[in-house]
Amino acid sequence: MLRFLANRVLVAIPTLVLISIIVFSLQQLLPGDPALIIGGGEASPEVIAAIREEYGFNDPLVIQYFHWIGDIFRGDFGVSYRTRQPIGPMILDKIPVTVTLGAAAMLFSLVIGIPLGILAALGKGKGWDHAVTVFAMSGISIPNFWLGIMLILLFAVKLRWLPAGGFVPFTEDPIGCLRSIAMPSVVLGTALAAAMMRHTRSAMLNILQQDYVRTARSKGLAERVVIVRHAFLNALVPIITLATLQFGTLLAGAVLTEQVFSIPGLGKMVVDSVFNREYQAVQAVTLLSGVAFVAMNLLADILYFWANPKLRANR
Amino acid sequence: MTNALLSRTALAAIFLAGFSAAGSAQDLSIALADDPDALDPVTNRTHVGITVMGVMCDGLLTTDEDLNFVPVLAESWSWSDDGLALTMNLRQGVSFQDGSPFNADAVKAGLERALNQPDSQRAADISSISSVEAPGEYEVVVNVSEPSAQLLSKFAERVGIIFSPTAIEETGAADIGAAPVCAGPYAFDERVAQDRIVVTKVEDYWNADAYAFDTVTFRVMPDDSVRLANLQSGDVDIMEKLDPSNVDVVEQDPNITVEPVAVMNNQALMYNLEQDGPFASADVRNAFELSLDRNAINQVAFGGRYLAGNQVTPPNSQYYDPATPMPERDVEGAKALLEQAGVEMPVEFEILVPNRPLSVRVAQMMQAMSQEAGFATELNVVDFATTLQMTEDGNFTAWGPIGPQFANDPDAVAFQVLHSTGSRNLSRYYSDEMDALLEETRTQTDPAERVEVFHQVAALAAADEPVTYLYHMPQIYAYDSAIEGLTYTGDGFLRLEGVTRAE
Repeated sequence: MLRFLANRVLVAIPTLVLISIIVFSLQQLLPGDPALIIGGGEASPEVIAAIREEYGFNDPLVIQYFHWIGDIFRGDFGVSYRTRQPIGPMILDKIPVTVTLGAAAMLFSLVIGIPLGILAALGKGKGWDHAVTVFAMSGISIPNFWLGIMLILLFAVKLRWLPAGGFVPFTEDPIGCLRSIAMPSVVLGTALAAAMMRHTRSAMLNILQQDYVRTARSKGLAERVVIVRHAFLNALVPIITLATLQFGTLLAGAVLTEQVFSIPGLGKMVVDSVFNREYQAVQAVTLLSGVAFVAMNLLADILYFWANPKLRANR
Repeated sequence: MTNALLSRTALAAIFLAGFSAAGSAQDLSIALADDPDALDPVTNRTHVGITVMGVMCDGLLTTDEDLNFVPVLAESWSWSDDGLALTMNLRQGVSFQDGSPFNADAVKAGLERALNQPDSQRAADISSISSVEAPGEYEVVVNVSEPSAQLLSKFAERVGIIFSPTAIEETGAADIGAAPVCAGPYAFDERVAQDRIVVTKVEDYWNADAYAFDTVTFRVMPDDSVRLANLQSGDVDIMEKLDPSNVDVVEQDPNITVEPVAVMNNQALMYNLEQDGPFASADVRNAFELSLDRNAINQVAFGGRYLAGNQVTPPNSQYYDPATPMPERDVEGAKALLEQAGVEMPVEFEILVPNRPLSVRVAQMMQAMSQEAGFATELNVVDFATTLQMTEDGNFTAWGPIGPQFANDPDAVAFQVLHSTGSRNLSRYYSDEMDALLEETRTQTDPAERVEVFHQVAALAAADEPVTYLYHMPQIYAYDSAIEGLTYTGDGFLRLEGVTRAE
């Protein structure tokens, strides 16, 4: 197990270096001179030149890259040149927000997607199966933005049951927190629930045709036991893969969802920072997302190991 | 029995009293369309930054809705006979929000910071100031190198907001924008980037009774429909920048009040006069102007809620030149001008458009209208930051609609765009005659004479047409109808003095 882990971590390092280089260079491709943005369009050429000097925009790219990486290893993500606030603490403030939202969305997708997937597999070809499939297709196709606005119009504007936006930390007010993330997590989790349902359905269908399931049934086991213990547990492996790999989709979805619900998380930070050419903030968040993604893949490997006895036996 | 009843009544009374006291901590929530930049009057560059600082801080003076100066921290002021010295008498007994005294020394330090700090965005506005003196504890004398007609208007804007010198010394001038300390009704409490800014009422503020809310929370909601949904759901009390095309719908809602506040600003198309090609000719630019129906643009793009105009100031302003009225759309006239200019038809034309929905809507209408007059107009829609870069590099034929968002004096919308040294003169329009006129508007201290000079500026700008002015945008606020007593400064910012919430 340890060797397996160490192996995976070693493979992750070059990936991370590559990510950092890509993040850094993509930023440079964005049109628009940050010095002009910082200067605000009203600054004189002398001021612009001074800004370039101060932020090191004049240095060769390679030097800028190493400065950047060096600072990050020291925990220094720079200072927002618009608001003069340090970026590191800003990100720390936003991580719990996006994590709360992501976890709630993931929970929603699991709670909805897995039972529906099992039911669809059991009723394959029947009306029930078709209904679930239609739900899944719509779930995948509905744009987050549209669904968000519709929910706000219904639950916040019309019925006034839920706040239209904003975020309340769980530690401050648990009920308020649940109310504030109810709609966003449904919006963010819908597409995921649909994907989860489809994967569960096909994994279950595949397994229900296996010989051992037939054996279990012919042994006279209760159908419930056959489905839960024999079929579903084995279908878990592809579902775990999906759940962990959907992490990236979640982050991408958070960008839109946070915008619609004015939730101060990482997604909103990225969008706002791109528009304001806050290079350092965008780089920091993108890099962090990359690191988190690699970490999630590592977690997927470990969960695999745990869920699949065959893998353990082979070592 | 009576005793028991009494004590129960007393208990209930205590409970109710406690309850209402707890309920009286009132917050006013304001939805902003953008995240403000540094909350420092010296380095601030955004409109929305002034909205926030305007609620927190008192300035030396302000303007009423007719752009008359109103005393705030400067109780009175007078110019010397030669117009070279402005004496201001300050309000006494005022403290900054950190408790340090507001006095002439603090004002002197604040003005000198605006003049001298290397990254000051205000230095050019007040470059006529040669020195600042503090002869008495509450008397400030500002000396100028030549008579300055627009200086007071600057004091009624960001320059007039003075920060506590003690706080600047402690925090450092570079970082004071993240922890602002000024003199005014609401003190900075916390800021969560891109989310909210909370300010808290200053209890010993000299005019505290006039401010009913204990806290004011600014929430950042860039999307128009999200901002509106939050207002409709009661999550925010006031929103700025209501999309004009939503005004009709929102006005149907009895719980919401819509208030368009007229502001001296303009949106225009700027031509690059240095680029070779047909648009180097004023005839071609005038032909393009003739091909446009500004009223139709206003009706279609903005539901008629904006103000069509052809000059740097709006038609309802005293600075608008009545002798240069807005031309009617004249397609034949435009074609005749093109023929006179001897350009090849159709005239190829590319407009650089910032990718904001309303701007794109306007550009598409200009494209359709100009095509009928013989222009082959293309739109190049890119994000705003990129258009800044391209126009700075001179890499464009025309750019717009674009323009200053607010002003409390015509100098602020005219000089920087039309003077050859203006920082926003991206048209590269260099005219000695225009320079002389604009300089005269700055030194002419007789108000009536100054209006006359601005009329000449408007007439010359219309003849040379370095810029085609299109329309003027009111600042459209929408708020919960329970909010009463809102007023605005002359440049369209919120004033919370006397504002209450009806129960």
